[in-house]
Amino acid sequence: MSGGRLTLRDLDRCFGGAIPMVMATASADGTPNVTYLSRAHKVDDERIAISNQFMSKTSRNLAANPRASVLLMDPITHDEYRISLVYERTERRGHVFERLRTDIDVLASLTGMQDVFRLRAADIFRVVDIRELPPNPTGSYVPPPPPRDPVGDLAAMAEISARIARAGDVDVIVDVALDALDQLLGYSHSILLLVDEEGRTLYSIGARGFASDSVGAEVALGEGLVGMAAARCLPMRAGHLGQMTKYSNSMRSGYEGSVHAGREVSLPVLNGAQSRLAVPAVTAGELVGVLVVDSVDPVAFGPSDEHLLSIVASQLAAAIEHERALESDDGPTRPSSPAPPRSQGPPGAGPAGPELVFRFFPVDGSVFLGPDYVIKGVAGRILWSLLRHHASDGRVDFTNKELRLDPTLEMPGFKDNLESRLILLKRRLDEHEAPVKIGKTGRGRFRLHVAGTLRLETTDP
Amino acid sequence: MSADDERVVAGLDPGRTIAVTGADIRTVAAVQVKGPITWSGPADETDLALMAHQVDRFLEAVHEVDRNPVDQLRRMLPIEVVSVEFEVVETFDQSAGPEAGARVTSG
Repeated sequence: MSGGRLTLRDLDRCFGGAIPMVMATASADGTPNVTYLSRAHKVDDERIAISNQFMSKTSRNLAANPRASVLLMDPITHDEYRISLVYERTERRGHVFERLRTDIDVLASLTGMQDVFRLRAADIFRVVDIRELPPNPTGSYVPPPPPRDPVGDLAAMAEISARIARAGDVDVIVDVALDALDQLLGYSHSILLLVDEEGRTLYSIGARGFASDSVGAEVALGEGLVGMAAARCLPMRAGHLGQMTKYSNSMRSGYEGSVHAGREVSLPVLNGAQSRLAVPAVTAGELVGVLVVDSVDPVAFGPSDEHLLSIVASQLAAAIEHERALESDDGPTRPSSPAPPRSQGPPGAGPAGPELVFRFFPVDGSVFLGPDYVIKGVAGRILWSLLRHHASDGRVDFTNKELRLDPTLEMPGFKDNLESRLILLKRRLDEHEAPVKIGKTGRGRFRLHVAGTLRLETTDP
Repeated sequence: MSADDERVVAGLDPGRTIAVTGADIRTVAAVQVKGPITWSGPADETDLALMAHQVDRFLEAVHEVDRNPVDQLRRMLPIEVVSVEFEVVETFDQSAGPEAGARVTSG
């Protein structure tokens, strides 16, 4: 508060969209109109912006009578504020419009409607008065949490930078970064996704704090909050997800019958998650992936979290790209050993452990172990190639470069992300405690461990 | 309704049009009713009992859906209230979406 008079700066939490606001206008003859809106945006210290999607009556009223009143609520303290406004202008492009458009898109993405909801305009209002409504004394006051400690955060960032800089390969970089986010900055539920070879899909390469499968989940660029953060290379933040989803579903119901919703995203889900923040990991002008954090706190993340995670994401992107460049520049082009060691005999040499029945579907590169899905796509084709080699001649040692020369993998000639795919495969096998594992034996080299006798089947569509 | 804002109370003269919007906490479906005020004045015991019942249902619904503790939610309840009667002349679907503002009934 400045000199006891409330300003928009005192109301920052009210602009997070956690609780719908109420807006009242009046026609020329004084007939009021009251409507709920998902969110108001602070433009500067004297102005707010409101998205104009469906407010036809409100727009007509403002044309005749430019005065409006909104009721905002603090999502933590439940304090209420009544703001008197005067309509100034409508914007259909520019910075403010884009901010509101992104907000609408985030809301729409919660129910897969991002291709349907459209922002028509951003209405800008000047604030003429802010009043705090007296809180009812029968209610309990919950003080807002203290702001993050900037000195502590800087020290944590320095330590995270050092840990990432010391990491020697992508596998370690991912683990180090996600562990540090938890230990040093308190982000205990995180996911790192990388962009695929064609730049169309993100796949999760590592996660912390989730009970379900966390590796190998895919999200299309542009799909949902995470996909939008990637497509636009901008941080995307949502709180009060339950409330936001309800509101989005309400809008969606108005469209049902005219559109088909996008497919559901299969990222790991934090039970009871109320907040999600996704920041792009960019280096040298290229998107490498997206870093995501979740929380059960409905108002968990703010601008400072965006800043912190954006720095970590950029460092991750730079480190991963550096390792990829190193990996593609060195290593032999042929199998590392002319007579590779054998973990078991070739077919017919007798069983060694239980029979492991793998099935491969060439149509999408998916691999199943018995009835259980293991992996698909490039990583699935890699696994199938390794299994075939092992089944035919017992090989266990492989190199990245020979994989690149394998035409069955359908690898792109440029930026194949092979190392990341191998890590994805390794983590997926580890996560499922599969009887087949891969382990790194040096830069660009790895070993296949098979605890059983392979039986391989290919299923054509 | 709340009497904590004197400007609102000052406008509750019989004959003036009032608009009241309410939403279903679980679905966020909203309805707005409008019409001329026929009477306003102090809330009596019957009014307060009805309001207390509605407030409890509202807070329970919010708690059920958003898990906010009821004792914290009570901070947003009005301290002073006034009773208002009005004739519902128009009803509008105020749910967010392309049909927001559509007239539901007339007369």
